[in-house]
Amino acid sequence: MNMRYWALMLFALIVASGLTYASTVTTTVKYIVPNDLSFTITYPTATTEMWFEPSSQTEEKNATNQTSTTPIIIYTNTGNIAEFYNININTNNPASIVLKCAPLNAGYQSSCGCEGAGTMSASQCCNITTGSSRVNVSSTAISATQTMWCWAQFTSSPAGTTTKTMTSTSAAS
Amino acid sequence: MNQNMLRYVLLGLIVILLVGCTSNTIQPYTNTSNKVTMINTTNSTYNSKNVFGGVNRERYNITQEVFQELPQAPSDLLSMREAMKTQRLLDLCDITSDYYLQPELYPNFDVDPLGKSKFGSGVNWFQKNDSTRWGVIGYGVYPSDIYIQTSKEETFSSCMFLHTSWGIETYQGTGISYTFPEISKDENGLVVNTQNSTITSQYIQVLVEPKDYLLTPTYPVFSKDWATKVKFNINIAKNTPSGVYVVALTLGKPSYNKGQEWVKQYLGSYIPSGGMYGMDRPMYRVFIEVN
Repeated sequence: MNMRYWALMLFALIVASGLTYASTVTTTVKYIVPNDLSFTITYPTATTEMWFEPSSQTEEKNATNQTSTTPIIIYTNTGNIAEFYNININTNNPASIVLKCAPLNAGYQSSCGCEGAGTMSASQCCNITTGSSRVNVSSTAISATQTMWCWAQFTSSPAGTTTKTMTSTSAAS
Repeated sequence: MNQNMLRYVLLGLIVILLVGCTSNTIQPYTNTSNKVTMINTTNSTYNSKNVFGGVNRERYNITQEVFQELPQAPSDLLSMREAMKTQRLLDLCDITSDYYLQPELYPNFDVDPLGKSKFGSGVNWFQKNDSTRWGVIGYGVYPSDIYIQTSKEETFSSCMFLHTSWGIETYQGTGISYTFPEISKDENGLVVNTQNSTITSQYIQVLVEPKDYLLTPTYPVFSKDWATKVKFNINIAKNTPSGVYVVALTLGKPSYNKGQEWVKQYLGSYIPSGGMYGMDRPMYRVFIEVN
């Protein structure tokens, strides 16, 4: 075997190895991530529903077990996409009862700045009606939480129990 | 330099070159981003079935009793998760309960989708262990949308997983049904499909199973029925006009008899679905393109 043979072999191997190496860098890039829509609602311990129990017929009450530092509801975004939370009740309250909610305790107002369909803010509550009120001004990020405080204003309310279904809905932002 | 020496030098070069080629390892695929997945399709390590290894729950630093009611996690669970996340695996009907009962299969349990926290909100929930509050209402569906191309006169199935959200201590009764939504929007609120539900119902027949389901707690331990597979059996009629149709899952109250059975069993821990809470978009949509 002469030098030309070896040189040719070396050249062929270099070319072949180069081709082989070039074929191993195929890359696929995907940008699609499936969504998981989910959220968790917590109440203060020993609370299973939003409950108001006034001691007189005209009174403003915190939701039971709600305090100035303990919200009645905390939403947690347990999915993998930012979410908006809205609330409404199935039928409107009688005129003697006004249900108010705000994302912060500081959002309490004796007369709320919005009614029904509208957006609460840190300094503004909404009267909750059959129209959906948005709890969060901006969407709640993945794993983040959103608080909500609620109050009921009773004005010459007759004795008895009024039950409403509040719907908390979550929307992908 | 004589010819023999040159031969040895060239032989040495060839050996070095060959060794270099065969030891040219490419770094195994690691999930460093939840938004972008880079896959080296010729990497032998990637092509193995179980490139992601098994689940290591010790690193969560929570009691392992949390998982005691669940079946043993399959060794290729994380590879299955990745196949679902990257949407290479779209037919989910064959996935067994060994997989869908493992919380790691779902986004945001052990992995923070944003990459900001060491763990997702599921593990964080157990670590936080807030005794001042309790999880009352919460569920989720994964995945939430699926796209299927099919032909007239076809019958197929589409599956997704309905699960209790993290931290829930109640029993939630659900009634599972479907609708043909008139308007479907994407994540940005843009309309992606409109249809006449009455007309669509003439061409698309749907059977959903199960019809009722009791979502059980995920706190303080995962109960054995905290997630289930929901199956849509869909039939496309012979005379279906070509186009895109949407079938959506709805979650409402369970049947009266089931609801009564569950409330007697769980009393104050039972919460019926479909009244106090819900989503303002379908939790699961099947987009069907009929050709």
